[in-house]
Amino acid sequence: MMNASERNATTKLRRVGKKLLKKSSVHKLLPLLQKLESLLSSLEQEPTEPIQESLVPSKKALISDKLLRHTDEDVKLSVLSCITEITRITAPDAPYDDEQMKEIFKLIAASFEKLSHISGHEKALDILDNVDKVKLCMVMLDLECNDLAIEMFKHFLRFIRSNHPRNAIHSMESIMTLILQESDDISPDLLRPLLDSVWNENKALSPMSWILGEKVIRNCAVKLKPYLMKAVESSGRALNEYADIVTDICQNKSESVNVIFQMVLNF
Amino acid sequence: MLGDYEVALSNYRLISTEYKIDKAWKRYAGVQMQSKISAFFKSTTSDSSSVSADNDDDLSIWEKQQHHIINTYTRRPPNPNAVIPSVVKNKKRSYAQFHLDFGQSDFLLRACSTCGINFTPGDPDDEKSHNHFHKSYTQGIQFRGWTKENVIPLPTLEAGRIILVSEIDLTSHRRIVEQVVSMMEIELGCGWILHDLFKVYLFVSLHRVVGCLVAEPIEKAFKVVSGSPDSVKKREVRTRSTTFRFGNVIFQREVEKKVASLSDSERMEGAIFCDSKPTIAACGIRAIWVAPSNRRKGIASKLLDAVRKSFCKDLELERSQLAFSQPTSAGKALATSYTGTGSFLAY
Repeated sequence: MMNASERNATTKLRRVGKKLLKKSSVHKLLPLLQKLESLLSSLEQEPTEPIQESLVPSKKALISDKLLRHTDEDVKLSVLSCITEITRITAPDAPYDDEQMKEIFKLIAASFEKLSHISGHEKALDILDNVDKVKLCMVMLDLECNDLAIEMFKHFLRFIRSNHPRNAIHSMESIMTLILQESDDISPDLLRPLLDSVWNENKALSPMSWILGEKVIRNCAVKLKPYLMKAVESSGRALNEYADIVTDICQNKSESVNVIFQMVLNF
Repeated sequence: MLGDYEVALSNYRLISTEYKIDKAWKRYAGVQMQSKISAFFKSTTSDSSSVSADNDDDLSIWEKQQHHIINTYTRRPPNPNAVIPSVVKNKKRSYAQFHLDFGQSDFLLRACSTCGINFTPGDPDDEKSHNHFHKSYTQGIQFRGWTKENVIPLPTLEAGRIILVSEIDLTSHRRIVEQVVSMMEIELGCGWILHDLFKVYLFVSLHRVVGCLVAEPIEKAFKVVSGSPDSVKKREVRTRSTTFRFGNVIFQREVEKKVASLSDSERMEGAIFCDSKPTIAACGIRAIWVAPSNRRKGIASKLLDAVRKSFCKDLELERSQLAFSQPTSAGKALATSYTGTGSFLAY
């Protein structure tokens, strides 16, 4: 049977969801969305039947054009943060149908542009964390949103900062590694941002980007081997203008990669 | 590396990602435990030496990680029905073909009999380029006009206008002139039309340059000697008898055409003979050209009228005072028709 805290959560969820469907002004929506996000973050995965039912009004409200396409940036980010919380709760099943998920992924990719902003990047970090934890990009790959994956790569490698929290940097690395490992086929457009990041000139310009790119390439060395040489040739730069890891992968020196891994394991 | 917990933590996180991807759960669990131990010691070290801000960061990290992630999303199994359409698409794309080579003689390059340019039939870019050039050649180069135009007013001009461009005009004006002259050179030959001292008359109609005349100052010219006195007599006799016999406008036109045609055929050799004694002259017609689709509309005559009116300041020249450079057959016909005599001036 439902305990007291569960009953309290369901009541509040249902009430907030109904209010969201009615309100439209920014200064009323933002507190409601904040409250909803707080309620959602308190829920665990595999919710009980009553909690699932109490989520329905919020799910409907969040996906409506009124909220999803709201003109205010803060409202959009809050809506997206709530949606990613819902995807965490409902995993491994997507909470919306394919077309709706595509729309959500477009907004998620666009939200990562906020990582470089002073205001609003906290919400983008929350979205990033949720996307990483439940491997939401698997759904994105199923829906063949390859251009959105490219957009995410560009945003991560362009906007990564040393002052980002460590877990955010780790999330970027995990998301990019997952996309490359789980892709059926890796397009040259997806590799171009990665190669640009590990270009030796970029080591001085953007050292965090260089480190992130190098880590991702190292994580996916085996997967990238068939594609990397072609991408280097089409980039118009020489092979030795890139990080050593690129040279090692292209020249089939898998022994050195294994040696590196063994050293890490020994430590 | 004893005591360097930060490096250890980052390395453990790297390894844990690898183990997770490889689904080596036992090793993954072990590395997770080690990373937690390193994080614990790292926090302790920071606690003793760092500012409270670091403590806040550690606490926020802890709060973020309080969720237990049991379920994650996975790739869907491949759908056999979805694979077939993409295969068909690929086949369609690979079999696209634009033209068939049956050994036809003009397969690679074809020369347009009108504008003379070579192009590849079936190649969309070549076809497009040819169409553009063909239109510019036959109908005239597109011309939207200039803010400052030296228009020669002609009372008899009903449509279009004639613009004078001289050597002192802007370089932007010269660019249009050079384009038009390169069109003229297709029929009249290259490299001799333009020089430093010239006046160019452009006939503009419907936003296109449909005719062009290049005039230059000269000092002397030579009168052309008629080819055959007999032909002159023939023409006179025919004209008189036609008028006398029928007195009909339609028949007059027909007779005129015949005479003109006869005159053209007589003069098709291209060679002309001139008096050996020079005549004082002032204006030379270096070149004159009309776009093919605009010919036989009096454009050339209008250009010559404009020259007579404006070449010399405050003085309008007589038709007989114009001199023509070595004319083509058509040029000779025009000169004869315009001046009303076969004995026009040449230089």
